[in-house]
Amino acid sequence: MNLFSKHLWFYIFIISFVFASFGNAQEFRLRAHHLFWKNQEANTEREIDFGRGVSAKILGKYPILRDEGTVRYINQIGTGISAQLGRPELRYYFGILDTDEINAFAAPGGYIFVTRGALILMSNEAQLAGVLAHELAHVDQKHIVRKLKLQSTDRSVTSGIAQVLGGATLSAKIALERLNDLAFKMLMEEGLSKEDEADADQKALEMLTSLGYDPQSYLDYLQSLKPYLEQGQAKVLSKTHPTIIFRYNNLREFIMKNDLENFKGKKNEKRFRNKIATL
Amino acid sequence: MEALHQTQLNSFMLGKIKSVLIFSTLFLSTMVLADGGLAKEETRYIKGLGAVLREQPSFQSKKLTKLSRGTKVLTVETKGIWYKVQVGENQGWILRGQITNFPVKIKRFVFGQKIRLNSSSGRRIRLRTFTAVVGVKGLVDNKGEKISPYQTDYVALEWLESQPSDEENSVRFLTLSE
Repeated sequence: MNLFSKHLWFYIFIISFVFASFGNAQEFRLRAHHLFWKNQEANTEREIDFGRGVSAKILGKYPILRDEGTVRYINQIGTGISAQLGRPELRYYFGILDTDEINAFAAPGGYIFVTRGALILMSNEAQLAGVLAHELAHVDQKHIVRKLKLQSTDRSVTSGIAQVLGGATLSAKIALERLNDLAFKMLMEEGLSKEDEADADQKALEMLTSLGYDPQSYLDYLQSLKPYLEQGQAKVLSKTHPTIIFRYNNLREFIMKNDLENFKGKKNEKRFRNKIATL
Repeated sequence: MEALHQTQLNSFMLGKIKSVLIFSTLFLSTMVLADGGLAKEETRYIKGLGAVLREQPSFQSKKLTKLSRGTKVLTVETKGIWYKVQVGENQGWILRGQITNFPVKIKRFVFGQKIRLNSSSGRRIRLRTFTAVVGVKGLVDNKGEKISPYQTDYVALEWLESQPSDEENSVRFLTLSE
């Protein structure tokens, strides 16, 4: 009897385990799935709210360009990419910031911005697609959300945002505002981690090849940034991103590893020049 | 006599525990495997413009066939940015960015802010009003201090959000060569 009570917890564990698996495992899994998706949906909503706040601050710093033709073009390229390779539950927005600075930003929830200065520096559509894909990858991988550690006690990022930002009270809203500031500061001053940027670069290259664009063009764009990094024009970019050499080598490695050396994609140079001629 | 009895009982119980453990593990693993939980083969769907099925995981490799958007495939193996998939009788490699876990027809926009604004649940509306107020006045906390040092422009944001976006057309535009 002594022995039995010693191992009692063990028996209970095994018996309940077996019973639990007997008792409609399929149904249990289905329920878990629904719960996950319901949670997921709430989280996505919070993520969009969060992203709106951050975007509003980006637009508070830089004015938006209301040139409808160019905006439509950027939108078409961006939406074309996101419709195929982005998160299916999001609607992505693509805006142009009216500034000479060279940079691009992604706020959580699908808000993506590229500056006029960056567009002027680009020489073809593959480069534009590459930059948009890089920002898209930040949204897809939830880099900002992860870096701000918006996670709950169970350590999963996905169930965290709703808990942190879901409150309707004033203090919850103030917390949201503070988090927006942190994210904005991250975009403008601190930057994401080296690994996240490297990851976004690789994902961008992968998206380009999936869509039939020339991946080498994206590397050329990175190279063309070099002379502007010391000047004021790309100061924010150089402050928030790893060095061009690091990014270039990281991508070269990716190209070699995946045998993309001889992949020749489209560049759509003429179309690009026509569409952004008004800038 | 007492001690002997105890050890006999002990080994007997241990044997029981072992057998129960082994059987339950076996039972569970078969259940999980049969359900496809741990199995590598998974159903995925072709998204985007469709995908070219290739003989080998390389762009230089021979093209077997073109899979259209929404085609159901079974993943067999992965290598770098490539997935080996089974489609009907064909087996070949496609880029991993071209498949998704969910049927592509079902596109679930969580977004739908405009629709939610008209719904009876007022939470969304409150949030919108809140953000608008923040945009106009700047958020002020209990002590009357401005919380955020940064400027916001919700008018520009709403202009951006009002820009039309047509996924199908955009995808078509992307495939057009100049």
